[in-house]
Amino acid sequence: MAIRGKDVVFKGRALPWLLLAPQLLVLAVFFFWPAGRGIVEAFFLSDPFLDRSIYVGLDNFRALFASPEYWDSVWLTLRFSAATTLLSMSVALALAVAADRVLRRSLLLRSLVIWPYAVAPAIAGMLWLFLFHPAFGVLALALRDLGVGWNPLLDGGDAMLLIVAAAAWKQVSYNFVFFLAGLQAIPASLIEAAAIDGAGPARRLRDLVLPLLGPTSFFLLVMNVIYAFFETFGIVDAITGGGPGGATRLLVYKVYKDGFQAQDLGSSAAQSIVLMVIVVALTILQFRFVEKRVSYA
Amino acid sequence: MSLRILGMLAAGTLAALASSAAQAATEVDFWHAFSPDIKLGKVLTRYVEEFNASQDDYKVVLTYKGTYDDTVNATIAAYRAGKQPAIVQVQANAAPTLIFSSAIKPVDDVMAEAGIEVDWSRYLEPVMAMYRYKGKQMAMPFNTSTPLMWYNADAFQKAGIDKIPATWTELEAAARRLKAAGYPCPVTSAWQEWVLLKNYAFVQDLPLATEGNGMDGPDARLVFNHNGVVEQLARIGRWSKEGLFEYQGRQWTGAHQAFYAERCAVLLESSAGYGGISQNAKFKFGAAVLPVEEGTKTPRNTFIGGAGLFVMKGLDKAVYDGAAAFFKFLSAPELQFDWHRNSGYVPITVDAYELARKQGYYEKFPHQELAIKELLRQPSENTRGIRLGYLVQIDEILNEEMEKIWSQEKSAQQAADDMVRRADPLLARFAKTVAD
Repeated sequence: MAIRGKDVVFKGRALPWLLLAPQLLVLAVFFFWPAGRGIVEAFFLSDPFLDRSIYVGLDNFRALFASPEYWDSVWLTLRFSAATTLLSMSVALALAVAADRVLRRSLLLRSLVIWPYAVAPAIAGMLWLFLFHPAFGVLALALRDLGVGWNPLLDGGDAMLLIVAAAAWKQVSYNFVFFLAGLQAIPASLIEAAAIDGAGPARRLRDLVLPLLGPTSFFLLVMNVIYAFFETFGIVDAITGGGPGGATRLLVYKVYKDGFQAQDLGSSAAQSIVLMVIVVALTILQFRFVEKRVSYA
Repeated sequence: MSLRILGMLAAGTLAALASSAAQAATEVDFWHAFSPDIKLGKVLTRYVEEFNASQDDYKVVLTYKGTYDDTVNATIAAYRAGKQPAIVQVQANAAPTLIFSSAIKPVDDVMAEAGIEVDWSRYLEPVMAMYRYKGKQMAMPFNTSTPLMWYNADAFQKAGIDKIPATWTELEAAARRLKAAGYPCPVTSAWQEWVLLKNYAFVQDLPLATEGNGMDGPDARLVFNHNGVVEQLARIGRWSKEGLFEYQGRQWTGAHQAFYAERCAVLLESSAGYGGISQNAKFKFGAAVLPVEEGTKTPRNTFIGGAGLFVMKGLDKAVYDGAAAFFKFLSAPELQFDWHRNSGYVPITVDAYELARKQGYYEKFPHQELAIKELLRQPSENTRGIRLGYLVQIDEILNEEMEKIWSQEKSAQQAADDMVRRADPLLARFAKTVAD
């Protein structure tokens, strides 16, 4: 049989399916099945034991959109995600640039910066709480002695600041690793050439390094937004519990709270779908508008 | 089949039966939320060991499932998979979910079918009422507490307060003196919605929701935005503005820490807070019953916290008989007195209370009797308990709106109206999930 160009075709259908089967099985059992159940639940009102399930159509969604508090959650989640992403990426970039210049060979120091990533969100939350709880936080008590009005228990702004800082701190190390790898992939000759042409460090960073980090930054942007939307409920739970007055009631935390504490399965499932739609829409936006400006050359 | 073979078969079966009965007592699974590392968990383990050693028919198998939420979630998942435990410890705010469900077997039925007679009138009424639905006892009360007013006696002396405040007006006057004596946080509270809102309504005999606070059925609506509860919220809001009350978070940790650090001089908190306070307070402290409103003739019983033991449906009769025997064991006056002493929770029977009194226990630990005295007051239609669907979400709403009053973002009336506006749709949705 002659092989012409790319037209290599397997005969028979069984073999490819057989080879795909393990992967598909894992996907089906751990993703499609539960996700499908979640979508179905969103249209039902059930008691947690599932002894009784009533089809309610779009009622679960209507109840959400009719609640001003739910819209508050949507807006504050967007603000939280933007702030967390911006903070964790800019700090990580600054650290990576510094590390790239000074610590090129120090594996130990580079490894140390990665540690926070290994800390579970709930533990990270507790660490920050021990520093900033107004009744027993070491730094909070110091702030109070200095006369700074710090009270995340009643001031929504302070509480938001605290969870943004904790969530960003945890993600800095992840971003750092990618930025550092990106920086080290830039050929030294390119930087040297720019230096010979008379470009100072700031200029080289702006016109050479940052554009070359474009693909890395874009990847991190997508990952950080997803992190901020989905993986931060442990931090909220440990630090603020959604308070004060709902000022840190992130969408994902509400999904967890309503579903796994209040046993309101229908609403929790509907909220997951809304959350998923928001993140998918944001990711599409990022790919359409941000990625166009990224050069992979 | 010949007679000889039949005889052999019969003998074999008999032997097998006899040996299995001797080897394996019926196992009764009991899932709970007391970590084995803390005293409560150790005490519970000891009771189970004593019960297992006291007879040969049943073996209670104790499994620690994590927090209260973890325990309920595990039970729900297990029930759906047909692997439910016999007994599960459920916190008060999740109790309505179980009581209104068809997944449990009422404790009344469990006891009756096992042929064990229980005289419920010998149990503390507000404790039993909490778990009674349509005349049936749905769960066995277990760890039960109720709030008290804990105070720093040294601070009172320093501020020149001779009389322990018994009314909210007196507490305000005391708070002003404490403030003047240099205490930045004269009054604080743990579990604010439980202590400052629900318990206030109970003591003052004010309704929180229709259907007897939901005790009579799931179709309840909140009503407290038109009664004295609003004035109470307004008062604490004003205290917060004037620096007489300082908020330390929704649970207990912050309030306890601020009390230990002598920042807060009065701590409104559960009777079960005694363990932490006695271990950590480096000053003389005391306790009193919760303040009442000036001129209240009959203060009513307070509202309980803690957890009850539910029995899950769908298991063998032998397992239920084991659960019944275990409940009987747990209710014995000596054991309840031991539990009272070791856990700081109140005993669930009047007999245990009388035993403790007879042995002079309250002369040494007077605060332990205060909680029982609060619970033994004359109940009313408004103080049988609270049984609202999606209670976890409703408590969350109460907490959020209370925080908005303390931070002066909302007036008490506006916040109370918003509590009702937000909670009622949840109650209506929950009612739909309950079969009649």
